[in-house]
Amino acid sequence: MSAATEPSGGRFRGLRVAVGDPRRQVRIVAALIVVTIVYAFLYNDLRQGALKPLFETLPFPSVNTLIIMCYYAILALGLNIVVGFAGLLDLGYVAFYVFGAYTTAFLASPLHDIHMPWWIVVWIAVMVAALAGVLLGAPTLRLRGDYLAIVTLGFGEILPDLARNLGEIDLSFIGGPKDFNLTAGPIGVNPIDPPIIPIPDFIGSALGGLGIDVGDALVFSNLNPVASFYLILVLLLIVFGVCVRLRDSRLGRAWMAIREDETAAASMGIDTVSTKLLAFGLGASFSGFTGAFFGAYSTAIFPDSFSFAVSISILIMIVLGGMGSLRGAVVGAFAIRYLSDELLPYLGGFVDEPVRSVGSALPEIPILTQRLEAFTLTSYNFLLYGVILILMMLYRPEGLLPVATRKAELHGEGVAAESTFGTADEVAEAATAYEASIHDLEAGTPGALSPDSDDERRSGP
Amino acid sequence: MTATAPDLILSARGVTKRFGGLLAVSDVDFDIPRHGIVSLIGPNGAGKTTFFNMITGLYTPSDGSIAFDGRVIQGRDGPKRFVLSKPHQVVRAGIGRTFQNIRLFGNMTALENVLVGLHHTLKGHWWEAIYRPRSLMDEEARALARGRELLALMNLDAREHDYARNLPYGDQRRLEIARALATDCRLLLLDEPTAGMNPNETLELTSFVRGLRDRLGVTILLIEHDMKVVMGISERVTVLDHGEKIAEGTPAEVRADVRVIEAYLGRGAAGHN
Repeated sequence: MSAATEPSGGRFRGLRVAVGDPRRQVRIVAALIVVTIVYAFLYNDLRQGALKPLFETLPFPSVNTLIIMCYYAILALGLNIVVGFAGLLDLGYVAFYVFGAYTTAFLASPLHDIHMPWWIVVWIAVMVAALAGVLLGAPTLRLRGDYLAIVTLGFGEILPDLARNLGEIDLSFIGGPKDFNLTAGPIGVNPIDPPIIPIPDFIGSALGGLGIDVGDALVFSNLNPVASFYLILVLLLIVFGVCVRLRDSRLGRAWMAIREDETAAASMGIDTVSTKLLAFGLGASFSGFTGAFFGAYSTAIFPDSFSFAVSISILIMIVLGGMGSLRGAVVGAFAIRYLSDELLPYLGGFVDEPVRSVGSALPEIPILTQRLEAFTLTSYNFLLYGVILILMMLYRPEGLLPVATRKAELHGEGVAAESTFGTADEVAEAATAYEASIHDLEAGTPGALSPDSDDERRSGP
Repeated sequence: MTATAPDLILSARGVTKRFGGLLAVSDVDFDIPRHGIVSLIGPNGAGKTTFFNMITGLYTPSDGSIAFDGRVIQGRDGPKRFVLSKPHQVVRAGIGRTFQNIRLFGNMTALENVLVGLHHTLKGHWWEAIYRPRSLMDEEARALARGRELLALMNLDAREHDYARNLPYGDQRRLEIARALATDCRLLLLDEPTAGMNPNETLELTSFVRGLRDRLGVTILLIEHDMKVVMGISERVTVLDHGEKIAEGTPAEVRADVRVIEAYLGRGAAGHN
C-alpha cells in the first residue's frame, strides 16, 4: 500500500472541509453586498445625474432587477435542498410558489376582504407551502428518480390551473353561492397589500426635521424598490445562512447519504421517508416564503406567472451554479435573471433593428420573413437557456461554483483508486504465504494473525 | 417458536422467502450465540444475501420469524402478529451491516461516512441546527471525536478528509466496517467482506474481524462463499444450498459433512481435503 495521503490542506470549518480561505471569501462577499447596498441607494441619482451617459450605454441592473435576482436566489436555494442535497428531482417546484403567493393573496387583499399584516401572512404562507410539500411528498416519495420527477411535474401543472379555474366555484350543493370566487380566476389577484412598517410619529418628525420625508409608513412594494431590495437582501442572507447550517448538520449529512445511496442510508439507521419529507417540506417552505414576498412586492399575482417555465428556470439556475452548491445556486440565479432581465434587452437594443431590417430587405420567405421583421431578442430567452445548458453539460457539467466532490467526479480526478494489488509475482508470493497460514489456522495456531497485529497491516505487499 | 434462549442474540425459525415461483430461502432455522462469530456459507445463489436482507429489513420474509435479543424483529410473532421492521429500525435495534458490493457514500469524506453511521445515536433536532444551541454543538463535537476514534480503529485516521470514492479498495472495505460499527451495533453482519481482496488483505481482514469480537464484544455474522476464509475464524458454520440449510456445526464438522462436500464444495474443494 502506498503512503497515506496528506489530509487535504483545506481549513476544517464546522463539519465540512472548506475549499479556499473562507475568511477571504466572506470579506469579498461582504464588500460586494456593501457596494450593492450603496448602488441601490444611489441608483436613481446616478442614473439621472452624474453617470447618466454610462447608464445609458452599459447594462447596469435596475433595482427592480436586483430584487428579482434576490428572490430567485431564494427559490434556487430552496430547490437546491430538494435536488442538490437530497437528490430528489422536483420538476414542479413552482407549485409551492403558488401556495405562498395565493396564501398571501387570500389573507392580504380585497379579494376576500382580509387584510392581515404581511409579517404574519408570510409565516402562514411558509407553513401552508411546507404542509403542501409534505402532503405531496408523503404519497410520492416512495418513488425514485424519474417517477418522482413526473409526479412533481404533474403537481406543478395542476396548481396554476387550479388558480386559473377556481374563480367561480359552484357551492350551491352546500347552500353556498353559485359562483364563489376563491382565486379570482385567470385575471389574477390585484391589488395585494405590500409589507408595511409603520413609522412612529416621533421618528417621522425627527427625520422630517432633518429634511428627510419618510411619510408615515415604510412600504415594501414595487413603488419603493430600494426599501424592498434591502428587505429581500436581508431575507436572502438569512435563508443562505439557514441553508449553510442545515447542510452542515446531522440532517444535511442524512440528505447527502440518501442522495448517494438510499439503501445504504437506510441500512445506517436513517429514516429515509421522514428525511426526504423534511427535504420536500423545507424546500417548499422557501418557495412559499418567496411566493409571499413576490405577491406582496408586486402587489398583484396572475396564474400565468407560475408556469412550468418557472420551475425549469430555477432548475437551470441550480445546474448552472452547480448541484448542491449553495454559492452556486445564488450565482446561478443571479446570472440567469440578470441575463434575461438586463443583458438580453440591452443586447436586443443593438441586434433587434438590424435583424428586422434584414428581414424586410430579403425577398419574401414564408414564416421566416414574418419572424425576422418582428424580431426581439428577449423572446429568445429560452433558446438561450437551452444553449447555456448544452454548453454547460459539454464543458462544465459540475456548474460554475461546484461542490469540490462533483468537480472531481465529473472530471475523473482521482477516481481510479490506486490498485491494492501488487505485481503478479507479489501476488503469487502472497498467495503461497496465505496457503501456509491457512494451514496454521486449521491446525489451530494463529501464528502472526493475532487480533492485535494492527501494526502489521500497514506493511502489506 | 419464538422463544429464544438467553444466550442467543439472533434466532431465526422457519424463515422462508419466495420471489414469485422461486424459493430463495426455504424454512431455515438459524441461531447466533452472543459474542460468537458465525458464518453463513454456500455457493453463489444459495440464498445467503437474501437471508441477510430479510434480517435487515430490505426484504420481508414470506414466512417464519427472526428474533433479535429475544424480540421478534421480522416475521411471525405469535399466531396473529406479523412484524416488519424497516432497515433503519433494525439498525436502531442494534444490527449493523456491510454490503457485498461496497456501498459507501462516495461523495462524502471518510469521516462524514462514519458520521452518517452515527446518525441515529445523535438526538439533535433539525431546527436546532439553525440556531445551534450549546447542547447540539457539544453533541456534534462528541460525534466528531467518536467518528475519528472509529477511523483510527480501522487505521483510516490519515484518510478522514478523503472522499470515500477515492480510497483504495481495502480501505473502502474497512471504512464500511467503521461506518457499520458507528451505528453502535451489537450484531455486525458482514456480507462477503473479503470479496475482491487479495490473499494478504483477506488474511488481515479475517484477523481483524476476530479482533473486533475480542476487543469490542460485537457478535459477528459472516457471509462468505470462500470456505477457506470462514474456517479459520468461525465458531459455527451454517451451510445453505438452493435456499435450504444442508449442514450446521463447527468448521470441522461442516468440512466433514458429505452433503456439504457434494453439494457445495464440489470437486475442486474436495481435492483440498
